[in-house]
Amino acid sequence: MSRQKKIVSGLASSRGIALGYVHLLNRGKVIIPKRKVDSKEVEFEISRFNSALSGAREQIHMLRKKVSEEQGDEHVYLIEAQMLMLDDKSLTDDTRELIRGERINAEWAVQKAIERFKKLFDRIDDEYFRDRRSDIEYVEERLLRLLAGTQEQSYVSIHRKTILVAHELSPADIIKINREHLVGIATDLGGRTSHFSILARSLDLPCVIGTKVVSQEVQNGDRIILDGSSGTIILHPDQNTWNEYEERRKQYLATRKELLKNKNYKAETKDHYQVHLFANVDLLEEVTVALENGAEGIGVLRTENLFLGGELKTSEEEQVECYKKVVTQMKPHEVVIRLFDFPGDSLYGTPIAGRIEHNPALGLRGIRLLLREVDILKSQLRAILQASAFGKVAILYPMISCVSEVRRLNQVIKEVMSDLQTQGINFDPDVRIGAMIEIPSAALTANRIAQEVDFLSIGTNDLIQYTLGVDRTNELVADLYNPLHGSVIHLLHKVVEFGHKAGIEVGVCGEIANEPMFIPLLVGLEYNFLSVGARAIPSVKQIIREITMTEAKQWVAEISGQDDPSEMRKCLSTYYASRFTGVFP
Amino acid sequence: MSDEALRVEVEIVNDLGLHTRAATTLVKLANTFQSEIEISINDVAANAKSIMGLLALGARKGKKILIVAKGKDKDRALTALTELVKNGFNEDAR
Repeated sequence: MSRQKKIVSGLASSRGIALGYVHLLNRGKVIIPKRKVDSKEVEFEISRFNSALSGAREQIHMLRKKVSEEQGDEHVYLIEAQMLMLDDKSLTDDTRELIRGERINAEWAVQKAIERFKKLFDRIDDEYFRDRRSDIEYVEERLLRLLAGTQEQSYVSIHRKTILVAHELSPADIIKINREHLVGIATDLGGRTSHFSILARSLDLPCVIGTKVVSQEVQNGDRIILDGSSGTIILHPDQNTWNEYEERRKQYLATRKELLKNKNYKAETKDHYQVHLFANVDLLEEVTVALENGAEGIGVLRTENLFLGGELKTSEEEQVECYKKVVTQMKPHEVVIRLFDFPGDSLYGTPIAGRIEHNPALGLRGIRLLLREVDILKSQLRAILQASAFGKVAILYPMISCVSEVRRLNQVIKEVMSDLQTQGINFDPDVRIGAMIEIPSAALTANRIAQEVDFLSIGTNDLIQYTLGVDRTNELVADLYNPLHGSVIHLLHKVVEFGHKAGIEVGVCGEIANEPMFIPLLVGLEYNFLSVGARAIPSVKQIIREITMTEAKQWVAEISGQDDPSEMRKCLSTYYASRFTGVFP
Repeated sequence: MSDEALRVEVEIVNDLGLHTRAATTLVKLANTFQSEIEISINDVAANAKSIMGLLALGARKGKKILIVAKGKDKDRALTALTELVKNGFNEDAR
């Protein structure tokens, strides 16, 4: 059935062009609990696994019927392959064996058994075969969903380029989906600084958000085009439009490749003011991306999303292993590990402290939570310190509102260090400590905080939201969320001044460092480092290399003198567009 | 009838090698026989009835695989499987 071409517009949230087939996401969350079971529970876990297996078979059977009715038999083999995997003794026996032998629950065993196969696949030096690991992941996901008792996702278009369409998304939705065939994201709701937008940018997935309607306008399997640079979505494109955009997609990629040539240059203005460029990292796979794009380190390793299932109580061993991986990979560069900052609008739906908070953004999050849950804090610190034996590590405190919190945390670190010492466990006693400045109270007293730490890192998303009293994800007021407001500029100015007076470095790790028009401003304010989405590094660097400090200072003076931030924003973006064409493709 | 194993070496000829579709076809065929069938490449062996094992072999076009069958219907199994591999899993003609 061919329908009329239609254009839907929204906010451009992650650059690039994607052409693909719609996969409508029915939002459901799978949490993968990992736990040890005692001997009495073993048989129960095995029976859970067995019934998940038969449930999965039944689902695949239905799916097979559906797919062959809707799409003919061409893709049926993929479904049959899944069926054969479920019947594969080497998988099912392994899983049961793991439950028995390691005394772990069914979910964990499924994951482990499948991980073994993935590892086998990774060893194959042929890219095509290595990619087959994704085929097993569908089986894994299906089993885990059944074990969790949640509804299955119908992967109708798993075998081809997929654009995920949803009413709204959580980062977990993206983390959990198989990303190999995912080429773009479109949503009805959300803002540029919603967590999934940030994630889309770091994964280099073109993304258009806030369209209000897109999820109602499409069906599974529809062809759509997504332009993440202009914020447009084309539904039911004709073949000419399709070809034209395919051409534009290639052009876009070519420009980006060109920019990457600055990889080995410093981020230095024409008059030799150097800014250090780090990458923000949410997922392990971004570490490679960071290195490829010339990151001089990791400015923020957000630990909340690193662990599958996102459990706050991830074991110390699991954490050590994970941090160690990142630290070793980034060597000799520094990795700044931010302590768990489970936000109020928690990723995982369940309120952390067992209570619903009416205003979670102002609630129990970041170090406020950690200082209450000292065991979690200590085990994370122990893990980070152990990783510090393998490379350069720094620790970053999120959601600081008062210098006394910093002192308490420093004290806890001391205690943990002396415990490790007693136990003869290696760590780097000189790890640097940094505080996030994201609450106005911290910004205004940054002079005192600066006395207790080695660097300050400004989280602009929250700082702006708290300073202006604007919920950044609420479209009704999103236009009031403006980094150019005099109050924000004032705070940005103050913090850098306080930091430098104390002789420490100050940087920005919020989203504004990703936005081209703000970069000259941050340079003019004399920030020492910017930590941005890995893919933005070449563009940010290019802008820095094309300006002078004198020019940047002029921007600051001009912006500081303005009363109307939205007018200013318009001016800046026009100026930016003419000054730096081609830098942000 | 002796239960000595029968073996045949055969080359993968289809462009994509022993990928998901091909492996699916192969396992389905292998499952129709009672014999134990093993497929190996450079000493790494996989059960021909295990799709995971087959995929993990990473058998590309041009690789030689060894099929070993043992059991009642080993002759028929070996003939059928060899035929399938030689015909490129019946897929390149599509």
